[in-house]
Amino acid sequence: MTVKILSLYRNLTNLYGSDANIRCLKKHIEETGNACVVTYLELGQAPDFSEYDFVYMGAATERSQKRVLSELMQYKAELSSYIQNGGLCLFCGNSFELLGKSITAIDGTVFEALDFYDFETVEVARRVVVDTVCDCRLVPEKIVGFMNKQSRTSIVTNPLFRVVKGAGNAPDRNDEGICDKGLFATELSGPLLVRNPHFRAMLEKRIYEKKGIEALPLYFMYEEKAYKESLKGLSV
Amino acid sequence: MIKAIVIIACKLLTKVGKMLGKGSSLPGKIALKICPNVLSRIKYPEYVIAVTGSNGKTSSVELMAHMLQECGYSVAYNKEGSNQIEGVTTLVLNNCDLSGKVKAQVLLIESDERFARYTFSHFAPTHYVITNLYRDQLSRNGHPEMVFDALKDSIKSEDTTLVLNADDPLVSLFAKGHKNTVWFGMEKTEFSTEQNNSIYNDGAHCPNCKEPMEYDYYHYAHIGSYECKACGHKRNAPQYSITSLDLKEGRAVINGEYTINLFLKSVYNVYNSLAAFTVSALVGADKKKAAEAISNYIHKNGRLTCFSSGERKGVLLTSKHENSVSYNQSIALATSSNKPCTVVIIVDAISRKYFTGEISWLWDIDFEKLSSPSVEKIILAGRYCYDLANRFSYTDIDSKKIEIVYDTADLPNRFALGNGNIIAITCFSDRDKLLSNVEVLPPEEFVLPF
Repeated sequence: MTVKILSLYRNLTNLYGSDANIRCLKKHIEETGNACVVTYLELGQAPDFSEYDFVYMGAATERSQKRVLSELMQYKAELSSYIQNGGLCLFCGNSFELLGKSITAIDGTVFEALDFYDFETVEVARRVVVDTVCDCRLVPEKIVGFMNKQSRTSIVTNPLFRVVKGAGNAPDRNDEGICDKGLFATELSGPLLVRNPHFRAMLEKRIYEKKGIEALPLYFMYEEKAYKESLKGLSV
Repeated sequence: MIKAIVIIACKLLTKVGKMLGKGSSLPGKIALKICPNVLSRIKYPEYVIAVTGSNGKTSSVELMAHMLQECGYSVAYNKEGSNQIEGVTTLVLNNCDLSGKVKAQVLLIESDERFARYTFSHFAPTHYVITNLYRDQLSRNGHPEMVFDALKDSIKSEDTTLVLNADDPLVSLFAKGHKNTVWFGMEKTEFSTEQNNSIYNDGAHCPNCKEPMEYDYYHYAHIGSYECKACGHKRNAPQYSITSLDLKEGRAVINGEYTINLFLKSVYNVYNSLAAFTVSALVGADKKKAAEAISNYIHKNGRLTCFSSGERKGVLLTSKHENSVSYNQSIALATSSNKPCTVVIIVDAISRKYFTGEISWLWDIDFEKLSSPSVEKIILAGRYCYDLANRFSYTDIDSKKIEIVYDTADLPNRFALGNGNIIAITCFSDRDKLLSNVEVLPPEEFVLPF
């Protein structure tokens, strides 16, 4: 069987190894003997989300994020119905912020966002750059990642992670990202699926279940060792 | 009066600090405590040249100092590379007489990108060189556009002449709305490519309007000749340019006339030489003499170090962790020769200043390019060897070529088992973990394997 992945605006949302998440997922799917085709959507192209088994967007700079937002607003209804129908997707880095009601830029400009969920993001002067460790109710193992953002997000009722160390949606709270049906969103940036093999396996399993593929996620030789070393370094 | 006291204090503290082996920023820090605006009260020389950017600052400044000195100018510069306001204060005060006048003809300042706005709120450089803006130290700097904004704040005087890399679309944006800009750049060479051949392309979209950008050619990363059809942002024709480049012979020609022989045959280093040449020309130095001065110049900043381990010879290419362009530069050098070699990559402490386990940058590096047949073995060493090994499993490189060494102290034993040159790639934070286990050669014995 062939798993079809749609990666949104890679050249604008590929900050710091974001694309590695897709490389990682593709390689793992292929290791199980199934095929995986990744389509990279560019500005100006109209997506048909229903064609895909998985939709992905990575981290952007604040300026790139606004460009991507204005593009995606054109396809708001289509993306919304994909998510409402339980379509699987992962939003990483500040692409998470697009899913809320609005983003207020540092100069006060308010950008209307996709409004899929009831939260708002406000950009702030001080950038948060910190190693972050979280709990996730979907996997027993802790999540390791890096927070690199310049904003705070109002409280979300169904966060994807709970921060144990580092930063979440806002500095004084432990909720991080959002999780709903097949949608997984986290502000953690970088190669999240590479660094967290258990979380990746959970997502992969969801893809197989949804598609009716009989396959079990595999673990590569060095993933677990690298993961353990990450946790050890962060002393949790 | 207070100015003289601060100057004397700074000079004394520097002397004491040197005896104690301390860095060069503390005297400046104390001077700023006593007199916070001391930098505003100095009489600066005719040429105050600031140099900043992600990569090549220290090397460019060293080249500029050498070039100008060889052309007969007296130059004061931050040799130790302390490039935040405290280090710059030490540099300025130590080169002043007691009246607060800088004694050198040229004051040459390497400046940190994010802190330049503080330094240059006290005085404005006459010339401000910006080399490039890359993904660099994200665990501190966020991303290049954030560094752009911080640097933009440091350009405070209309009278400053910006000296910009025309081939970097983000750097070129500094010229927007600024009166005086001098451009340097590289024309199309046989090494230029039509496509961006790296894992990511930060030049794919215009930094000004974010619409797709077109390139005539790339030199590397997002460096090349670009044009945005949507807003018109494009490469400016450089006044100082590399008009021909022969990497095999190690020769670059500037403006069709001035030849520089390159000790390090890499396209990346050519930009440092070009930036230095441009500055020398702007100061009024004899161009022919300037070009001669840096021909075959070996940097003294220790970024390139030759060593031996048992029977084997090696070279350390000090690169920057968290900086994919810096790594790609070292990989390009390591694969530029067909002599058999072992490549060693050490990632043990990502930063020497703080702890971070952030390894996303490993996924921005073109490790795929180490698949060159001359690279017979690749040793991945240090605490992050498993992250490296995992990253390498995504390349086409035969896993039999790859060795994993957690403890860097084991490296000499591993070296003893092989033959051919050793090319080590690591950062300042980890280089001593190699150098303390091998025999470092003096610069006069340096022989490069490429």
